Amino acid sequence: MTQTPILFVGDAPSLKTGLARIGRDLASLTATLPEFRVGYLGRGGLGTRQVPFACYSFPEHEGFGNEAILNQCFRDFAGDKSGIVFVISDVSRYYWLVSSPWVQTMRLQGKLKLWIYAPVDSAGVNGKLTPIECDILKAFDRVLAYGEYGAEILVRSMGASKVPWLPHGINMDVFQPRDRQAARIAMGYSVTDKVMGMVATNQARKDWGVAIAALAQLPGWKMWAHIDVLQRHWDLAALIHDFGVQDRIKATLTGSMNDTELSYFYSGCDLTILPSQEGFGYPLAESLACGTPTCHPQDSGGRWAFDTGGCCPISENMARRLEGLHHRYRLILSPNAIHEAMAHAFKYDREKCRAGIEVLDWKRLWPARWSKFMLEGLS
Amino acid sequence: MARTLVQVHAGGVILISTASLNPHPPCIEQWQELCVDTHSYDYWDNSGENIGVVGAYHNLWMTNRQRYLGNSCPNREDILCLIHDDCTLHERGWDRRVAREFDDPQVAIVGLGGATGIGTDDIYLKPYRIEQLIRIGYRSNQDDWATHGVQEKGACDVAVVDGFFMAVRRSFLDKIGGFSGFPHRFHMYDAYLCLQALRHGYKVRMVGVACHHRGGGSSTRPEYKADCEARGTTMEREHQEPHCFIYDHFADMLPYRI
Repeated sequence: MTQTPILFVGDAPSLKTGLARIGRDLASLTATLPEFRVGYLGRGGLGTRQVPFACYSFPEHEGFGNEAILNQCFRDFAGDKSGIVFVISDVSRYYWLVSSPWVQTMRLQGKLKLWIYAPVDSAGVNGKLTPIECDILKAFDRVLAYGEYGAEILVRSMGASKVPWLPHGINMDVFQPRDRQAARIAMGYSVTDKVMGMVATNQARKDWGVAIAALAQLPGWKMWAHIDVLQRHWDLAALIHDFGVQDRIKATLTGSMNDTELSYFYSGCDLTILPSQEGFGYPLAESLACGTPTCHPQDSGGRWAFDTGGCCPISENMARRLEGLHHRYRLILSPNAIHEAMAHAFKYDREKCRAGIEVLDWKRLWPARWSKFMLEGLS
Repeated sequence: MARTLVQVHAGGVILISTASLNPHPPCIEQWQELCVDTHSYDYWDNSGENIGVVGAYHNLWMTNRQRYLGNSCPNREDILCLIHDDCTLHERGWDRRVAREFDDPQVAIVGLGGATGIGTDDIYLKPYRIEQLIRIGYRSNQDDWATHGVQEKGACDVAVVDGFFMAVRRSFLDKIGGFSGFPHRFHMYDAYLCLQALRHGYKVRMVGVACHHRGGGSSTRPEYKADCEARGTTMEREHQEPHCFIYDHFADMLPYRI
């Protein structure tokens, strides 16, 4: 059988970012399809043999890649064969890709297709992405959104009639409800404590400030905070100290625990919060799979979680402001809005949380939808 | 339990079959009167012990298969016409129209009403709801075709047919073991059979024979409710569970569009 080379491009699969996880999962699953030969060009990290595909890497100081790196990698991986480059990353990072003369030549010769699985966490002016992002998108042969929220914004941005979307899946054999007592022991809390959790990277759009403020105003609650680095946009240690919640919060770092250990911490929470705008919101899926209700703003790519019956919208009248290089509207949340959502989520049925997320189980999602999407791209 | 096997005719192509709670259903005569050719017919009496439509159809297939295996013409192809007893046919020569579709060896099932799609676009992307198994683009030449979809007087490929009339190639049923893979009594057996056919590389067709299907004659009656309760279930579960079965077992096929 002729195999089509497909080169995934994004965060290195060995990293602990959400994009790395998504890329790693999709590349690993695609490697099970005999129609494809899978490679991965990863930013940061090191090449690894721990994955079922060929791994190439480039250092972070090279930015998000360039033509020379891609050219060399693709030739090494695909040789003279026609193939696919599948980007699993933010649209804005890939102007270099679509404007590359080598890429354009390869596409004109019919030797290269460009696909992108585009996370869209919010829109800018007129509900669209920036003009340059719109131009980048139009250069891709296939554009796939993470959910209906992202698809709607991409439709407006591209002037398309429809943009397909597919959610990311989850391994529900790993993320499952764990024994609550064991979980609380692992967290260092007692079974009688009320515990809220938050799993998010240290970025501006993930509002650690309002999360710690919300905790501070709830003296009966404790918190588990899982973050990639303590200091970047937020200084988490300083926030904890300034709000005086040192004895009520336990912080863990990404990479300090594996997914099974993570599932214990999720299971040990009464609920989790994700006061941020997300392209998908993987922590929402993890929390729900572990039977733990969660809270999330309405105007975000994580709104798919409301359909599960385990996620309460944070929906006080929300202010917005334009922010950042890409002119996105960012929500301004209040601790009161979070408290209100928490009060509802606290009463949610934990079994229903997991039942509502079963649709994302990779065991069904991959054969039912994703593998068909991948194979349809070959025709 | 009374069974009436009235006639087996070696020259026929179609076996006209039904199952009924009425020990003497008049429908078979009505169908035969409009046939151009002569065909055998068989009937399963559910008026005593009610084994459900699917159980009856399965037994009709098994009986036919055993008869076929003992037949002196082992290469003869049978087509089992499984018809609801509340279906009235209006068109003379319906048998020939149906049989002609099976000249294409790829065709496994022919119905008188069919949908060109099954399953919503967001099935398996959002949490399960029964509406995700909706049939799309239904077409027929039923008297009340406008209630159900569009009128089709000709013939076309479909994804699923309505179970009120299903002509099924017996060798296809042999391949999948009849209805043994479907553990429910009534709802969604048509979707099951059609999706199995498609999965095995066959085609499903509909022909616009003029007809009427009264519908709801069994599944809304107090006797049905009582029968469900006697078996420790409810009408709602009898409806829900077959849908869940299709959802769980045909993820590789759904959503399906012609």
